Amino acid sequence: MVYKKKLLAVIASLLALGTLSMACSKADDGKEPAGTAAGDKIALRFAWWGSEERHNATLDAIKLYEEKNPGIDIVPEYGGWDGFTDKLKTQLIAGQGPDVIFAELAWGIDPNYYVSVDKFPSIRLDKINPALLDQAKVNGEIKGVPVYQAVNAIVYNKTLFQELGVAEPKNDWTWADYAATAKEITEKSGGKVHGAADDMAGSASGDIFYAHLKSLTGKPVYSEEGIVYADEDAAKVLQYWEDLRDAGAVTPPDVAAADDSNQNSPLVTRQAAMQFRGASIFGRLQSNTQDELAMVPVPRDQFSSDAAITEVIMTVNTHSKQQEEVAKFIDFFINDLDAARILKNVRGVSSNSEVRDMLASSPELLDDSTRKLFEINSLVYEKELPPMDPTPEKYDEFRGGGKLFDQVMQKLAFDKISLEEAVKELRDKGEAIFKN
Amino acid sequence: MMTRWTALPKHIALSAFGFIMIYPVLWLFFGSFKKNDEIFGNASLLPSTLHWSNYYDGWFAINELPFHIFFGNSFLLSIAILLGSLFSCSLAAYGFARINFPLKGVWFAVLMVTIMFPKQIIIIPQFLMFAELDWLNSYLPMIVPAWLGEFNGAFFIFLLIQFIRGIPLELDEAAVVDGAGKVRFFLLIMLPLLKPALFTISIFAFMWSWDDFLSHLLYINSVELYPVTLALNMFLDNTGKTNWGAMFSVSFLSIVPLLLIFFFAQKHFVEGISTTGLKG
Amino acid sequence: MNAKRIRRLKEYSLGYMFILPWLAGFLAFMLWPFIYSFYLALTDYRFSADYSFVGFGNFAELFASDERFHKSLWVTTKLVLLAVPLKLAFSLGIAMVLNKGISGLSFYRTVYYLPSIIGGSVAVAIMWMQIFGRGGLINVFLQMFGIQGKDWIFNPDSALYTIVILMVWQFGSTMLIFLAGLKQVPKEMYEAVSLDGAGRWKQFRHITLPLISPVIFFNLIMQTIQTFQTFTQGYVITKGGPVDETLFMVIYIYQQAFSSLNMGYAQAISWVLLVIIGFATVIHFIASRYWVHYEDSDGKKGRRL
Repeated sequence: MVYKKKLLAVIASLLALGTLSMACSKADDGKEPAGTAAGDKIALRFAWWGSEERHNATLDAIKLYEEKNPGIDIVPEYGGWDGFTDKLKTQLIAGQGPDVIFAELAWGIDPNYYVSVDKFPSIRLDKINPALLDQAKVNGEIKGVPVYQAVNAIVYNKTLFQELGVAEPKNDWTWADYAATAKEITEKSGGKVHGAADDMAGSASGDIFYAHLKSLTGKPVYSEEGIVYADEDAAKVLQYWEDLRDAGAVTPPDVAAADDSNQNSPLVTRQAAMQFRGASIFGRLQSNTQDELAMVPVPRDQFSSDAAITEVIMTVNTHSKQQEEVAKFIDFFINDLDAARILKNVRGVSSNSEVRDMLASSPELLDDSTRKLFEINSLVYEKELPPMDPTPEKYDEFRGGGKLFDQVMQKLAFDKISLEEAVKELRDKGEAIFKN
Repeated sequence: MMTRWTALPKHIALSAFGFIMIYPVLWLFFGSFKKNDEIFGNASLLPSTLHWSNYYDGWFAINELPFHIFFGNSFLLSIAILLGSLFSCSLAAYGFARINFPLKGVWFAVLMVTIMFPKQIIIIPQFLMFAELDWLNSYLPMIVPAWLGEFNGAFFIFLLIQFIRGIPLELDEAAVVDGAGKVRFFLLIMLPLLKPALFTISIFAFMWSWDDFLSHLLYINSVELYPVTLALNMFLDNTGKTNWGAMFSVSFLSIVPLLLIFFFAQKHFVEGISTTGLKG
Repeated sequence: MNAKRIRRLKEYSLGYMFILPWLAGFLAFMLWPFIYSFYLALTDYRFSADYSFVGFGNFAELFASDERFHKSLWVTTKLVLLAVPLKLAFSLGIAMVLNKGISGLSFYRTVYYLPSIIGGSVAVAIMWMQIFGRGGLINVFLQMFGIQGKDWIFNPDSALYTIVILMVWQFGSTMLIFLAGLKQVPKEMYEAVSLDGAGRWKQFRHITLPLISPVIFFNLIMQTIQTFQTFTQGYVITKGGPVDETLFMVIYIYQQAFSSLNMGYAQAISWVLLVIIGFATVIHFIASRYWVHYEDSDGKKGRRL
């Protein structure tokens, strides 16, 4: 009996020691020196976010590059969206960021962490829409290569439209058409389906406010100093949406709060027939439902709000010890046609016109959803689009989750404040943020 | 015989309540067999057909990195942290509860304060520190603090102190009271008496380290070192399609080891104690 | 006299040896971050090289003009006042039932601990929405009675309560601790008292409660502290919304630090949280003198029979 106990104790402690030593050896495992020659290879750390489709495509593209450049070892550090920003910001403060950086312009990261890409002759920028490059400029220097060109759209449920016998939206429709269609859908479905999602209460409120206001006045909404729009115009836009809410033509505000542009999107759950979203979301929405979805451009008024939009840039870390090599890799990633054949659309519609043309003429590379994405993208970008209006320095403090604009819009939708109060709060508190 | 029947209503109540407790997990389990567009479309719990391919897709989602690598990493990490916590916290708890030394009150107050501070805030200074030590991209920032009582250390220490205080002082006094005696007493008598509490701490340490997303995120860069938390997160993007079926399948699989460990370990550790036996 | 001194010194050094690993850990990994955090709270640091010392400016702004902070304070307090008692009550109740010795004990214990195993992953968020969301289980259930349910999670009036339910649902950890504590109550005590004719309720009041009072106290303090620090449950499901109805303090701190990059301000908020938690803890400790009974105090104060 005692012998058994002793034996068990010995086995247990051996097991413990074993796992402990394995854990400690793992502890040293990943410590490849970054950017320095490990063996005779140069190691570049490359971080990105995405889901498995993007991970696998990017890994394949990396393999291609390593085959063509045997002296380089690209060290991949990839994961999901959640936490990516926090990690990147923390790493950059500590000077521990990856050599190759993917970041969104909206994150408000100090551009001094990036090296201006126009300093590297190896990064060819000639095929990239200059309106996109403009957005990545800080003090006249291009701080990163725009990865894709984005377009906003109204995504709608084609199946639902056909079931209800409502005419589908046209490419050059107006906000008046939008309201009429929304009301028609609500009527014809007996109130079961709302015409549109209340996007003025959700995460896209900033974008749709901008689009609507711009199409109304044709004038810039913001400037580098702050708010430029007139309060009466803002009130007109908000009144439009309040009217839709009163008519029941848009979904109740809690739906917007629950909307994650994924399985909880009102389009997917058939609570609404139309929704304002960035077109890059289309594939994901379609994959969640058996209905057929389609897209049209954002409605216009007297003017159009279309602009060249870019969100994500690929750039060089200031602290990288191998900046020239990073530049070469970036050039490959954005411009190389073989890479493009592997990467296809996993990061939206490429900012490189050559790549776009190549993919558009090779339909076998694209799936159904992607084809629709390409269609609407080329439709909108056909005309020479101006870049997005410049925004104030503290714009990412003003709008976004938990920020002033989104909060005020949510309060308005939930009837916690009146329209006049909303307009005033945006003006007063907004200016306070921008002037600070 | 009588007892079996009187226990029946108890069982019914416990089971009904228990069903409510685990319903969400049941939903996850059945969801792992559904096709993507079926998961959220309808309210029915059971899948129309069984898509075992979800499990294959989930396990082999990333080229060249099958999921057992991530499970292995999580196990290694959690066991190392568990052992470290048991070591440092049982020692500290005994010191606080049964030995007198100067400044004890001060250190105890410090202990309580460390529990009260929200973790998310000191994580940046800690990151800077570990960056200086060149411990980044390894398990060291998580394992070493555990061996020095800093992985939920204050919680475990305080828990053990409360348990120790439930054990009569006469026991200590009956044993030899000088230096070496106290150590022997600790190892041979006190620790075995604390088995229920130690078991509880082991479960907590294992599970909390298994689920510790924020630390994993910040301190691990290489994908081969990813524990399950980060591996699961790889499925979730802000614009890409989410392969729900695959993600559910590996999410469910990641719960299974925790469940099994908990279920089987119970029998071996939890025993009733009878102090009369010792008093005699 | 000399021998006594030596004995005492031996005891002192023994004490320090026992707490040495923890002490070393604290000094190495906690102390400096603590001090640095307090320093940052007195500045307007925003992750860039130029920042300035603002003294108590952050704190003044918090209390005087930050509405979101006030809301956050209120919401978090509500959460604590609701979730902690409910959680303790449920876990103690179930623990007592399970402790009586029932067939399938291991099975039941696992089932009740399961929600806690799932932790705060994204999977929990998805699952919770499947129950309390618009098309969720609760509404399907209500539909059977002809009641049209709404989205419980994303409505400002009910959002907080769904989180309270989530936290109570995860009572497994407290239950485990109670179970361990109940196991330490010697069975002989119950036998002796029931021979005297004391019923179950009397047994509970006079034997169980006092003997497990240290454990109850532990759970009470821990749950209070941890509930004040709630982050994952609120962040992962509602992100602090809608309209800040679930904006728990740590979520607000997180938003200020990582989203708005107001690091100094965020540190100030966390020190306020620390003081509040400290205050609540001290009150608990003081009150404990009146109802917690320790075996090693030889029945001095705090014993009630």
